[in-house]
Formats: sequence, C-alpha cells, structure tokens
Amino acid sequence: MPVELIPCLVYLVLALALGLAPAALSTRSVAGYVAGDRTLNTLLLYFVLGAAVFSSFAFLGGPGWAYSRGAAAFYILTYGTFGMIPFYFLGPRARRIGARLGYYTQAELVGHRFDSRALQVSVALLSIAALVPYLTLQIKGVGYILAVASHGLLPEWAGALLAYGMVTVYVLYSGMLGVSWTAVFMGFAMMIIGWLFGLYLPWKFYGGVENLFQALAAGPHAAMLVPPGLDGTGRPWDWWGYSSAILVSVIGFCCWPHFFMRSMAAKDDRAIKLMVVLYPTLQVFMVPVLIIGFTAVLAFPGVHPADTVLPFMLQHAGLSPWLVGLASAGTLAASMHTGDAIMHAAGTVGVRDGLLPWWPRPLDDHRQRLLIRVLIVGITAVAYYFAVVSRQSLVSLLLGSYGGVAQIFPTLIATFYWKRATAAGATAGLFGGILVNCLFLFFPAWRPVPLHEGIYGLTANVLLLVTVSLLTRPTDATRLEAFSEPGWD
Amino acid sequence: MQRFGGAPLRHRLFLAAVLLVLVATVWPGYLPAARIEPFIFSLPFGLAWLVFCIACVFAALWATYSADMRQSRGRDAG
Repeated sequence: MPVELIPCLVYLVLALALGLAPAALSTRSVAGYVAGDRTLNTLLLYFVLGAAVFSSFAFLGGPGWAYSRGAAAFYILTYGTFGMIPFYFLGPRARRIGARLGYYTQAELVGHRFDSRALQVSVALLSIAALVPYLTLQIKGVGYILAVASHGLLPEWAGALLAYGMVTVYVLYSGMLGVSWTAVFMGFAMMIIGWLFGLYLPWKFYGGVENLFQALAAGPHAAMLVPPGLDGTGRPWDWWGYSSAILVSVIGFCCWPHFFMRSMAAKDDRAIKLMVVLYPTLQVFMVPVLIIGFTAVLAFPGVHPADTVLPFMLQHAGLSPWLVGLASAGTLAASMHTGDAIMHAAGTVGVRDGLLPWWPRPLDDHRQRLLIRVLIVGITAVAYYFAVVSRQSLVSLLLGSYGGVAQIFPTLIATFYWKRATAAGATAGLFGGILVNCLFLFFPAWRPVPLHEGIYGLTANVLLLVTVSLLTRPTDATRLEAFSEPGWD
Repeated sequence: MQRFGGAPLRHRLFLAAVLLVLVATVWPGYLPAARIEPFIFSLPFGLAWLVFCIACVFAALWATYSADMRQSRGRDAG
C-alpha cells in the first residue's frame, strides 16, 4: 500500500468513529436527528457553519484561483467575513420561532409566515437544486484526491464510494450530532494542515512568504498581485465584476439551507451570536491556502485545470510521502466536512418541506426519521452518479443555483421584518429574481454593465416583492403574531 | 415583528461600521489599498489590508456582542 494512503485511512477511521459516537447522546426523535435536540453550543455551531470555508473549494478551488487569477481570489476572504453578519440578527429570531412552532427549516418558517404551501415548496426545491450539484463537487474532490494519494490503486469511483459510504453511515446513524462532532475534528485537521503547507511550501521553494511575493512582484506576474487580479481569460478583471461578485456572495451566504437551518439546532441565542462573532477568524485560515496557490505560479507554470494545482504540487514537488498523505487527508476533511452537512440538510428539507405539506395525514416521528434517512441515501446516490458516472457538466447548474440561493434573502428579510409583505409579493420576487438571474447568466452580453447577474436578479426581486405586496391584501394579522417579538434581534 | 427603524442605537452603529469596512474592501474604498508595496507581515499590501479589515469586523462584532450581553443581563436582573 502506498505510504500516502496511510494518513488518509487513519483519518477516515477516526472520522467514522467520531461520527458514530454521539448517536447515544440524542433522543430517537425528529428533533434529535434533525437538530440535535436543539442543544448545539458555540463551538459545535462554529465548526458546523465553517463548512462554507472548509469545503473542497478551500483546498482545490482556493489555491486554483490564486494560481490562475491572483488577487481575484481575495474576494473569498471578503465575502466570508461579511456574509455571516445578517445571521447575528436573523439566527436568534429563527431559533426562537422555530422552537415555539416546532420547525426545523427556513422553508417551514417562510411557509408559515406567508401562509403559502407553494412558497414553502418553492424554497425547498430551490434548496435541493442548489445542494445536489454542491454535493457532487465534494464527492468528485474526494475521488480525485484518493486516486492521487493511492497512485491510482483506488480509482476515482472507488475512492468516492469508500469515503462517502462512511459519511452516509454516520449521517444515517447519528444525524445532526454526528455531523457536528466530525465537523470539529475535520475543522481542526484542516486548519493545522492548511497553515502547515501555507508556510512550508513557500519556505521550501523561495525561503519564505515575503520572498515568494517579492519574486512574483519582480517578474512578469506582478499584475496578478494587484487587486482585483485577473479574469478567467488572464486579462485584468474589472472592479464591477469583483465588487458585485462579493456583494452577491455576501447576500447569499447565510441563505444556504444547510447553514440557516442550524439556527434551529442552537441551544440558545447567545450560542448563535457568539458563533457569528468568532466567524471572521475562520477567514484568516484562507490566507495560507491562497499562499499555496501563489507558490505554484513560478514553481509549476502551466498546470491545467488550475483547480488541480495542489494535487499536482503534491505529486511533483518532491515532498515526503507522509506529507503528501497528510495534505490529502486535509483535502478529504474539507470535502467531507461540507458533504455530510449537505446530505443531512437536503434529506431534512426534502421531507419536511417537499413531502410533509402534501402528505394526507400527520406522520409520526419514527416514519419521518425513516423517510429523511431514505431521502439522504437517494440524494447521495444521485450526487454520486453525477460525480463519477455522468460526464455532464454541472458548472452552469451550480452557478445558476448560487445566484438562485441569494434570491431567498429578500424573502427572509421580509419574513422577519416587514409585516406588509404578502405571499404573492414574496413568490413574485423569488421567481422574478431567479428568472432575471438566469437570463443574464446565460446571456451575459445583455447586461447593461458587467455586474454579477445576481445583482440584477436581486433588484428585480426587491422591486417585485415591494410592488406586488403593496398591491395585494395584507397577510392575516393572527398569522403574523408568531413573528411579533419585542426587540429587534 | 419589528421594523429596521426600531433597531437600538448600538445595532445601527454596528451596521454603519460594517458597511464602512465593506466599502473599504470593494470599489471605490479598496482602490487606495490595491497595490503590492509596502509589504506588511510578509504579505502584499492589498492582502494585508483585507486581513486588517477582517480584524475590524471582528472587533465591531465583539463590541456589539458584549453590549448585547450586558443589556440582556441587566434585563434579567431587573
């Protein structure tokens, strides 16, 4: 067996053990499986919501962006810093209302506030459409990295099956607590490995981080270090694109269902608020990850596609096989950290928002949990199929869904802060926003100025939400009572 | 349900501070910092600037959180 595979296997066994262990701590109810009986403290929330930072994108996409587009990659630091701030106000409200009404997802809250099953199902469908390609990318990342670490001994399909087979076992067995315990382990593993390589690689090739940047600044690549960096074709990126990509990502950040629904798992308001306070510290972790990408610019020119620059370096930098194995384990942790949270959220949203509203009679706890588990296996199987069997490109679907998720934001704000908003207004805004977003995504030449398509979508969304709400009958006051609380946060 | 107009002063100040830092990380606020030199903590200036902005957001969040906790303790005691 290649030495590189040993740290990966040790990591997988540890993750499985940690994923299975907490099952005994939660009740055998929907609340226990979906929300860990609403007991998550700040540390667990911090690492569970860290999935946004610690995904396959962190170890593969982040260095890839720095390598091919230079300072453009700085946008990752910025949007993650600001994106969680709305959650400081929305999270505690969602938690209190969710606990009072027995809800676990954002679509349930929206559906109740607007008295609209159609709106609830629309938000749920949008969520699942966004989550499946996201999960597919995580599974692809795992298959790729295990194939590299095993020198081809484990083909991509087998590596992905091994890792995600284990993830499926602990997600099915332990639910929310399994996801959160493993998140802490994976988060620490990634932080340590990220910093280790972010400092070691520049030292090995240039004698230090400052030497690396000075070498880049003195050569023909100096332009890539100046914000906003380069675009996808290697020409200087414009400020329109850079700034608007940040704004859309900031707005969409906390709307992702696998984040927002974690407010329902929090033990109290303080846990959520303190998690948001600490969240920017996660962004600092991305700095060494970007440095890894910059290291490769002069040392390994011409790697294509850019997202494979880290595995390429691991194979060709003459590193000790133990170090290569360690970096591979870090990438596995990155993928699985996000993957398990997505699987758990997609299964929950699918059953609670997609099936329950249409189910002819109330479902007991036992059946609900069973259905959620069945759906988790189904969704993972679909994502696995796309990851290893289908050759269809998912990039456009993923891009479309990113813009689509940001369109939930105005609906969420209206849910909590605007009494006059109506179901018709929220539905018109959501669909109008998604339509405009997709229109400019697929026909970028039609944009008046080169802003991110999500900005056009959000503008249409807010205009429609306000206009249609004001033209339709206000929502019944008794329904709004559950959302009426003294105080603002 | 409360409107944004009902926000306490410390939350308005917090949002204003966060918006200010956000503007410093996009066009046009980022323009003066969009350069390579001087290097700070081994990082090019544009990157060190963003790390500084992250620290500012963290400080603003911490200050607001501390005030919120004092307020809720005061409410509980009262």
